[in-house]
Amino acid sequence: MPGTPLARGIESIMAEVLRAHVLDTVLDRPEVRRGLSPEAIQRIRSDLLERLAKSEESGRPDRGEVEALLDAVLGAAGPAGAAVKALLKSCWERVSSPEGEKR
Amino acid sequence: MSGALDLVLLPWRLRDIRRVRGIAGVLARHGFADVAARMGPAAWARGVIRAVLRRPKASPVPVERRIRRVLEELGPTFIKLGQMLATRPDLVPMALVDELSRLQDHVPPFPFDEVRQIVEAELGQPMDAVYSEVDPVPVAAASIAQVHYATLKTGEPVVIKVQRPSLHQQITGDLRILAGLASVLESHVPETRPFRPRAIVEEFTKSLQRETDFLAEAASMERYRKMFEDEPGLCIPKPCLEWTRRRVLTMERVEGVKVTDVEALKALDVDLKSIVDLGMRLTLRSIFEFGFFHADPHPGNFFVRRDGTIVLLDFGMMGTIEPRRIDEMLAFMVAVLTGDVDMVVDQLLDADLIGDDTDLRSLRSDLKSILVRYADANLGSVNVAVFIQEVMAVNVRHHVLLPADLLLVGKSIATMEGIGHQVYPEFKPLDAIRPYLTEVYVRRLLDAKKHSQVVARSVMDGLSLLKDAPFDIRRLLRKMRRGELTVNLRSVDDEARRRHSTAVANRAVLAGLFATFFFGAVVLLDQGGTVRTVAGWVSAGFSWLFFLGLLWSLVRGDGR
Repeated sequence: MPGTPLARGIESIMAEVLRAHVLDTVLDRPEVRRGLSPEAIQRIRSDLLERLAKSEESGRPDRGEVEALLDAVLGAAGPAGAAVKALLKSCWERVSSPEGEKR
Repeated sequence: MSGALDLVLLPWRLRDIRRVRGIAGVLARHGFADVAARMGPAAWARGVIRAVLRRPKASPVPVERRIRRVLEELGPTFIKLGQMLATRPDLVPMALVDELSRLQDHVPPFPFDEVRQIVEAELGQPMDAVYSEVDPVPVAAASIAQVHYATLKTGEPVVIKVQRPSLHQQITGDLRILAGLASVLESHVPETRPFRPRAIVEEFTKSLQRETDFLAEAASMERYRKMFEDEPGLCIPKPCLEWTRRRVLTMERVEGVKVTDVEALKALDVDLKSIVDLGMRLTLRSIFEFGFFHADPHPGNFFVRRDGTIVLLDFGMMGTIEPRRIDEMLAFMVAVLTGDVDMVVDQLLDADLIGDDTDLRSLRSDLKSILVRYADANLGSVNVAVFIQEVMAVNVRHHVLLPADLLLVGKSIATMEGIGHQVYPEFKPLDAIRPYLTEVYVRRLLDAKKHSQVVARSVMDGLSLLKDAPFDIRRLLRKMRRGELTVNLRSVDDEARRRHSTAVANRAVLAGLFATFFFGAVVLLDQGGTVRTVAGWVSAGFSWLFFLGLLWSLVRGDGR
């Protein structure tokens, strides 16, 4: 599975979530602040931002694969699947909203 | 434990009796006649009986030293067992750990005629057909093998590592005896059960089998070479696979100065600090980036070349750690190194290492007293080996069974620190360790590829479950209707198995509930009508809850 369009699509979504919502939370953890100097934290932050942005962009064209898989799985589950899909979509819109990008 | 060992039950095989008597004789000579006597009548050689009858006074030599001498005298299997136990302060007292760390693995060399016989038997051709020259005087001789300088027919200088004659038979017999002893201990001496002697002997057997297979050692060397391709400061000799077999290892000859020979290093005019820093960096990278590390990094396996590169030898004893364990271990070590007591205890609880009888408040308080002291100390003044020992001692006191791989990792880092202090007394290991581990910890937490692989695997597992669930449930129901469903109950006292069984049972229940509510929803929604539609949606909601619970259970693994 590694290297397939589906894997790249999932990685891209994951990279976006990590970049927009998790990176600063992790770097702000007490154990990280105690273990690294502010300069080291800044260096790691820039490096990780660059890496995550790269993963995010390189897999963006493959995100359709993830959506297609979700459609297939949730479609098979009938109306309940449609409800879950709507829920997931709303969650994703919130996660990838401009407020999230700004963080 | 005194008197609890049933003599009659010791299952010595006829072919092992001679060796058992030999072991009993060595034990008796070093003041352990009572132990020898309890090995059963078959072990009662004349020396044992005499020693028991004489009832000697307590030996002035400390018991730990006598144990070390017994192991050294008993040969390779027991020396290696002692070396393994030296990495397990959770199993043996600290004084014995210190003594076992001094186990000497030097034995007289075996004759060159036997070297020739083994090499020719393994390579399937005369020695002279492969090597143009072989130095009959060994460079080194240890309990497993001895090493000779040689030159290949192609002119390439090499070294040949040749396994000791009859080693395989001797080790196999010793392991059989140890397995029998462990089995009796576990079945008949309840005090030894928490230490799982059978599991220890099994783990030791695997490790020793790997160490005596030179093909596996050559593969480890290749793997290490590949791992550190980007590290110009490290040299791993290249194995000559064409002339390597299970008992003979031929490899590139790389010469250097022993890392602890500081005078010789100074004569080479190499930078001692950079050698030590590099050694620690390599140790940490092998553990926390690759999960594959040298588990026997004693000074005899480290050399330094004229250009300052480190040469690492002897890849017989390697440690491996699964990626998931690396994450757990990193979190634990970062918590310890940053003095976060709550996180340390959470990690121990998450890994299910804390026993039911542990007083958490007392454990927290003891850990805090150590961690706060070290957190306040100047990093440069901290002795990592002592620090690890203190943390281990607290865990042992509170019945926290630390996993073997964590202990091996601790031992590797502490050994590297010891080498560092010998070579460069101003070495400050924590200056390097703490930021390095914290950085790796952060990078792994934010590794999109790793997380996406976990998600992808869960999706595939979920799909496979969805595909099979209706069929499996129909088959189960059919069997129930026919009265053919049988349930086999087996009492398993192994905690891990029990947890696994519980997890499997939970998943089966969740799968059943999911399927029931799911099909119920489909039927109700299909029939229409307000009440049925509402009931159908409620049922669908429950089915998705159970499905998510099932996915969660699969992602978290056993015992959660």
